[in-house]
Amino acid sequence: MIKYLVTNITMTTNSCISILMRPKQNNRLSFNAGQYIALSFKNGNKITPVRCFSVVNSENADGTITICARMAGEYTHFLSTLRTDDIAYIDGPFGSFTPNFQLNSPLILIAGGIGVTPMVSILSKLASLDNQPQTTLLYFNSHNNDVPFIDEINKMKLSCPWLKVNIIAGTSENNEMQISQGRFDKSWAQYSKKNGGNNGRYYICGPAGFMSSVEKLLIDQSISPDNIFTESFTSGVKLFKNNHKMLKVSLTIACIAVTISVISFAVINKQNTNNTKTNSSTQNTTTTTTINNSSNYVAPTTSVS
Amino acid sequence: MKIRSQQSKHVLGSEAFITIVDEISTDEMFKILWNKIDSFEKRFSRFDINSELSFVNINAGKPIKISSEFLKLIKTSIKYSLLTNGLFNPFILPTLQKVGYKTSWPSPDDKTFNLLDMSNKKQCEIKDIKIDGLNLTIPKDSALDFGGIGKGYLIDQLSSILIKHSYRDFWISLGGDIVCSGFDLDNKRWKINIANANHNDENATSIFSKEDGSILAIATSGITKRKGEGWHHIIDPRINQSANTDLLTATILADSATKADVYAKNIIIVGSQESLALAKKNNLKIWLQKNNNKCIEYLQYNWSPND
Repeated sequence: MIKYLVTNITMTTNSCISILMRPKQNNRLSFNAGQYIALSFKNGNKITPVRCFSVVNSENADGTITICARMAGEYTHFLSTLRTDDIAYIDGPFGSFTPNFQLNSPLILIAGGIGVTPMVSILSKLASLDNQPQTTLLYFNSHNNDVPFIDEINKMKLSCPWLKVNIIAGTSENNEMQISQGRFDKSWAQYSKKNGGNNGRYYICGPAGFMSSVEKLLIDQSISPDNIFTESFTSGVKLFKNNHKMLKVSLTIACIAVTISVISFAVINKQNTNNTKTNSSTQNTTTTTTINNSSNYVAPTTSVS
Repeated sequence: MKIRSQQSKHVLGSEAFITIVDEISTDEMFKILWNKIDSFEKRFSRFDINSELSFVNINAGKPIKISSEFLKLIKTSIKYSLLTNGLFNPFILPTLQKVGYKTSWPSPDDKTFNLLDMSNKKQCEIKDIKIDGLNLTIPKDSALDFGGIGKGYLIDQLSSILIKHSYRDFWISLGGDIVCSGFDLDNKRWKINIANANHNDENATSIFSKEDGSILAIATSGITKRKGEGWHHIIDPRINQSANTDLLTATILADSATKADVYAKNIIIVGSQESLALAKKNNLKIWLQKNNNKCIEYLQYNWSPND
């Protein structure tokens, strides 16, 4: 684990909090755009449980790392109590939700809600390169008045000729930001195919239901599962330790990237009759199995290695 | 209420198990641990042409800039090679391949097989390694392999991650190597079974984790797996061949899995006669299964099932 210091805490939207951290010492995390980290904080004499977050920025010279969380539970409310110079412990980086930046084939980035965080990291990295593939961002949100990073994305859209941006919201009120209304459906799948073609690389990040729906619609457009890459996250319930008592902490939806439960992963995978590349440690030639307090529990046995 | 969560997966050529008992959800902790294992395998597998280890081996003789993770493991290897007077040697790969242990999971295709074949190289000594900062040079015509230490080293790392994240009650198993800490449900001590050398689905004996819940590391090595006609995978670097041993398995208790892993193989190499002296010298607790006219004879030193 590498120690970082909280440097800045800002509300990105009414519901999203961004935390900027800098390395405490010379040691710093090296990561690729689109990867995620495991993060915990010093909280008095204790360390908070670890949570995974996608890094929002791309790697930079000063080694800073920004994460963004949607405020939806006690854990993320705890984040809002952080102060400058609080200590953060970072493990990682994890995941392979990183496009090959050497390739010229089109990139289609499809984000649901706070699943946009790795996309912002990927776009930042692309913007720093000399040559970029044609890139399309489709960014879906529940409400048009709560769209994290909308300003940053719109700025990029204006300054980057290689980037097309479509921001779409399920509900649309007081629409001053040119946000389309709707959800990812067949017409957006056709639009994706039109921009990405058969050789395009399709990156999807968002809630599990959103991702499985997008994948299915893309595959219906004859897009090869080999060209579809996903990064998933779930909301969940987590408990803080405190002198062996439990404090319930309901976790944020969204920003907490990649907390895929093994079982739900297996179910999702089973439902997908394809070989979509899912960025998860649980993906391997052998499925990870989970047993909880079950009679199927396997006792520790040492045999010849 | 405490919950016991267990996950398993086939990694590093063996079945790995992670079990955590805690009051809080452990999903993310599991994810971190599996990621750690996956990245370790990608970095240190000798069967993966894209691993950092393969890159070092293919470029033997040239200074190679290595990762800090690689440096840590090479330094740990040097330490144990010196402590064991060379009985642990990370340069045995050419010998290992010469005797017959070339392929593993999954079998490499013909093209990569040739690149991964180090059997025409030589076995060197640890003093031949040159380290300058992050630059590593191994002798030309040599090849590294961390098979004698890697699982133990990794399991210590995983255990350390759990402790740092305030998890106290867990056990982790990678093949024959196990680390356990704290207690099972209802504050019961963990019971660790030791498999019969010839029938892995039968237990020969068992031992309990420490009464005070402190970390206990166990490793078993032996000659009954990963073998072929006239060879097995425990190489005696003194003779550049599979060890000529009277032992089928050696199970070692130690304060770290790295130490247990290394010395389990060392005990196999030296055989039952010298094992006692080795155990005394290094403060090891050992339990051995010895081949005795097709029967298994059990030997032990400093060993108590309730330790």
